[in-house]
Amino acid sequence: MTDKTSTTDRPFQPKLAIHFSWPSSFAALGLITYLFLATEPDIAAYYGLTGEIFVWQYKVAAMAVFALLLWWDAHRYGRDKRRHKRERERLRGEINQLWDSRKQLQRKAHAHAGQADKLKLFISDKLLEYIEYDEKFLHFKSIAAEVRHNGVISFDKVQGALEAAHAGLPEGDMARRMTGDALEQLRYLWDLLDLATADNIALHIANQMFEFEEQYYQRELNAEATATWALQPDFSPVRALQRALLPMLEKPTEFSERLQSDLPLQWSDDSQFHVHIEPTGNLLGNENHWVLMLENLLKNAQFFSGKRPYRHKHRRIAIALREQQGHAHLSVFNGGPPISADDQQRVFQLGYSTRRVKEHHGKGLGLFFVGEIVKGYEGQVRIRNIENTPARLSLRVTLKDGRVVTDMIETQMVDELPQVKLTDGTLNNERRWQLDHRAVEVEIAAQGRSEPHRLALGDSSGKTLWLDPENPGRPAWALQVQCRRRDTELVFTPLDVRGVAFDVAIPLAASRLDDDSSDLDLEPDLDRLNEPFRALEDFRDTGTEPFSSS
Amino acid sequence: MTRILWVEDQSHWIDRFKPVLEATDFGVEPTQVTTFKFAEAACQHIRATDAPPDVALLDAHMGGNSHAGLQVSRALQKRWPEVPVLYLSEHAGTDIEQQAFEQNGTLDFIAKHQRNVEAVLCWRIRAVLRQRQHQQPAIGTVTPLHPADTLRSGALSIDTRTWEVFWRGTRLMNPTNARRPLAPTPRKILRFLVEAAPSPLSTRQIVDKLDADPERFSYANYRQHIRTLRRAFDQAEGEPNAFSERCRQGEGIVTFGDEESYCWRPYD
Repeated sequence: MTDKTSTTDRPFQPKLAIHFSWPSSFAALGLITYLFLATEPDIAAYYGLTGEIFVWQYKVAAMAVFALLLWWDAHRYGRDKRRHKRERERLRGEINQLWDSRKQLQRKAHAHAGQADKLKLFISDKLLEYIEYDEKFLHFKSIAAEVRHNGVISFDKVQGALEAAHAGLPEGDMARRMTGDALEQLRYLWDLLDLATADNIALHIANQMFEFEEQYYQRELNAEATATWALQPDFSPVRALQRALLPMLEKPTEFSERLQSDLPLQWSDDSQFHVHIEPTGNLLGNENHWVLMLENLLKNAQFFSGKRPYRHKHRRIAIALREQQGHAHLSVFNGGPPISADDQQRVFQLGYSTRRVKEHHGKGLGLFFVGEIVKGYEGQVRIRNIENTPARLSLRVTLKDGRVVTDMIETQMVDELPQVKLTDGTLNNERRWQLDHRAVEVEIAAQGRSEPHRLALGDSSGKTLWLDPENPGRPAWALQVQCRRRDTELVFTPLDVRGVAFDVAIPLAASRLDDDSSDLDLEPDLDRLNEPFRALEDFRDTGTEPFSSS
Repeated sequence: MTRILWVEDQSHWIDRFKPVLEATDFGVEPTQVTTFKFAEAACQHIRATDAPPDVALLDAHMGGNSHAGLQVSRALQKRWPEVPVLYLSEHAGTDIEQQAFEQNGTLDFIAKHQRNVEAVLCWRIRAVLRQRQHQQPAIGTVTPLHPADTLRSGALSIDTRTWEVFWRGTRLMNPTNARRPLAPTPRKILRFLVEAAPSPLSTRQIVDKLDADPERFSYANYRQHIRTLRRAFDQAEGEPNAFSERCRQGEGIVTFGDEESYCWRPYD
């Protein structure tokens, strides 16, 4: 059995029989006997052989037969010898080939060992900096993957129960609203896990976008057939902003009511946020991704706003959402310290954080998520450092008796902070006007702007604070008007507007319908999406140093 | 009958989706769903049976083995290379998805956890079956689901339900990015041109058919959409400018006279 198995796995089994010269040997014996009997007639007679079989013709025939057999055996022997020789050569060749392949394997092993050394070199100091974060991220990712995989049945059961409860409750019921919220949050959690376990978040989102796009096109092409579909390939960025912002606002209910009533909306009834929302078209994709991006931007803004507590009391986080040139533009401004050009390149990298270790709340993941989501949505994110700039304003106050008082206000920079010029040419933090009558209207116009801003004052006495209406989320000045019966006091204070704005622009769903009719090449930048892996690919393809200038 | 082979190790998914799949009309009723809970059993069934399924649905990760789905997909490839494979898994976006797509025959990877997953699943199975029908017009292996839904002209076939365009069995995609679908306006224009062939369609006629605003849709837009279409055909041909060259020679999408018109001239 073992023999069989050992031989059956051989690819080629030649038959190598060795033929001994039996025929000619026996023929030789027969011939000798025959010739011997021919020379001894007595013995032949004893065996009853007549003399007729020993005639010369028979002898010649016997010799011929013997010669023929001898030639046949010689021929067979020669043939076998040649076969053996061939087989020997084949085996020798096979052995040589085996030796060669062994040597080749050894050479390969050496080469790979060399490449491993190169790979070690490739992991330079720069990369080692991030390895720690990568490990943390991978650890986090594997936990998320485990949670997702093991929690799938639980998730499904919870979702099923919530859906059943939601369907069973009457419309307008408080419990129904809560169940709906819970269902929404559960799906948000799932999408978070989905992103957290994706190998390449931007590519994962981009792939989802292709699916959403076809659904969106189907909605355009077959309006009747798809009317019944519950699929939602697009979402409103306004709703996503509302979802991300509500838990952080002081008056969420009022904000929601105002949002439902009409847009555009200016919301400044909050100590921490100033929100400006204009009507914005829908975006393609998953609303939860936007909620995650906004949450990270807002938390980042909250953290850095707290870094400059000595700034003026009117400073808030300014959020603006508007539509422009087929894109949804979102801007989140915080009054935190400026981000240097070097850091601007790095803040969206995995594990990079500008926060000091002592106060490290995050792991450098928040803005990484923001960057990846924006890339996946084929958008752009930009960081702008806002600086204070000198300004010239004209002030016009209308008094109750009909007189008009005008003045010029000029602000200049001192150590990057704005100061207002007084009448004697000195600079101060504020400038005051004492008027001998009650004011009914104040106008301020920035130089070069035709449209002045007006503030109508009521008949009631008291203080009125007027913040720069040009940029209510980031006011450059504050004017305090104190009206009394016989006089009016105005106090102008230039404000520090320094801070950082994150601007995100993402193409609207509608712009994808007719993007082919423009000559713009709107191809998503796959090179950019694959950036994190390029170095390794270069290394793999060429074996050269990935950070070489090529 | 539409035969679906489904390999899924968790019963709750089977309980949830099987009735939905069986109740859906995928073009040829009834729908028969054969489920297997183990990859090995599915592989054995594939080796033993003579009737190929119309579509195979596979879970990627089964019984703690991330390669279970790939194993079934390999067995399917060996036996019936033409059977489309769809993955239905919670591992979308991970390296399992990447491995699945590296295998031949994988057409889709559907995430189990998305809103309206049942609707998405049925829609995608239907899309795959329809695409297959366009890829094999000559072979009688697949029964044409709805012959009335297919508009054929030379090597071109248009699915009149989804407006998807197939050129020699390859679906036309967005020329700027082969993974993105072709925009709706070029799809509509091509269909109108094919329906009007051999007559040409001028800008004004196209505006009427598209129900577009004549102020906003000019000959420049029309020309741009035609350019997009030609580039999409080039992409489907797999050779740069192959189709555009044929158009210059008077086949395919031909510029007609100097009346700002285009015309469809079929060729194989």
